[in-house]
Amino acid sequence: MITKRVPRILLVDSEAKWSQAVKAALEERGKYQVESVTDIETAVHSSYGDSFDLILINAVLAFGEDIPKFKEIVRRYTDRVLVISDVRSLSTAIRVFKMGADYAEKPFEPRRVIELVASSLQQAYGTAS
Amino acid sequence: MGTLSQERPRVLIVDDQPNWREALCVVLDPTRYQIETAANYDEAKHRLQQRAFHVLVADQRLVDSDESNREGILLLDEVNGLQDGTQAIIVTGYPSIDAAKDALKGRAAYDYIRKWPEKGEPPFDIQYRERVKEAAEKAGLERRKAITLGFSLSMLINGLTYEGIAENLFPAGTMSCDVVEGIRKVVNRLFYPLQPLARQVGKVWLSVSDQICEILCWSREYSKAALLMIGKEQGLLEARKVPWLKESWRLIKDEQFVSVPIVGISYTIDGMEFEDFAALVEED
Repeated sequence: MITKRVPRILLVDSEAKWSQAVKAALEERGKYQVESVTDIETAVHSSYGDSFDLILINAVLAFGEDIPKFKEIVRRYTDRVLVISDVRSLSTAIRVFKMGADYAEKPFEPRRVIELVASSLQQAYGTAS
Repeated sequence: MGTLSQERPRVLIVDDQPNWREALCVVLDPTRYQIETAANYDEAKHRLQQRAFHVLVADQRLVDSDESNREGILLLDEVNGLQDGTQAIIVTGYPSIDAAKDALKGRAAYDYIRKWPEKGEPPFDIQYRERVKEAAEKAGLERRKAITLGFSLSMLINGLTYEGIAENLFPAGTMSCDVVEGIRKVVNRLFYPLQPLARQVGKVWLSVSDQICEILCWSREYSKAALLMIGKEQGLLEARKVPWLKESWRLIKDEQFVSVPIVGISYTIDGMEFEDFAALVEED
């Protein structure tokens, strides 16, 4: 029998309260397994070994002071990167799409991240998770 | 030998609004690019079929009165289907995140540029000029990787004999069996990438008679029809007369080289227009 593996998600956001809520929502009923980090440096280290199915990263951290680090993550994960932007920004979206990653606006409700994650995973893997 | 990479890059500009069409041309240096324009989807599609472009610049909305029109982005499917390294840039006065995603992620556009950039961003003309330059360079690189039908072969095979081929590759007097083997390898290497390309052209005749395959296709590099003949076994002796061609060719069999098992020879058919080619294939 094949047991379905729980998709692993790396959450990169400096806002602790938000991260906690998103982690709780995603991990509800064991649907996803979430590792949460607050800076890009740690994110790069955590992402080695290709052990995540999706990397959820805040746009401010992605395009912050250390863009090369973010580029490194995208180089390894490409379409398995979802950039979440606090504000609606077409410029950010274009940058993200050009890199091959995905873009979404930060929803008010942390629970709504579940839909975004499901949709990104589906795009990346071609199947609904 | 003029390859596309040495030529001025060809740019196709597609916009339904004449003033923008003109502006998109004027901004580019005409000594640097060969520029063609199209005013709508069908015209652009036709031009893309006729010849190979380095860069396609397409306005997102090609019918100004229709707010939902995204035919410029749909042109990317035409470009991608041709697989000859053409890079596409979408320009638009009506940008949206959804359309940008469709163009960049969904259909592999090179870039998506707003005609009215946000505050703090470089002006449109500067962005546009820079992106076209980069895209043309990228297309040149891609193209060098891809070998297109009727181009490399007819360049390589100037004469119809192996000798002719060899003379193109090796200095006089250095020809040997090794040379022939070398030619066989080169021809095979050239031929295999050509098959899918020939199919992409869409209108292909492939008739396999005893030992000869004939593939007729449109060479977009040359803007000419090309006939490729492949002998499956040794001794590609005489090309069949192709009914619609005025001349028939004879391939001279050189006794020295009868052991060569597979050869490919292409003819570029001069003077044939795309319309004639298309009509010819339609008839079939």
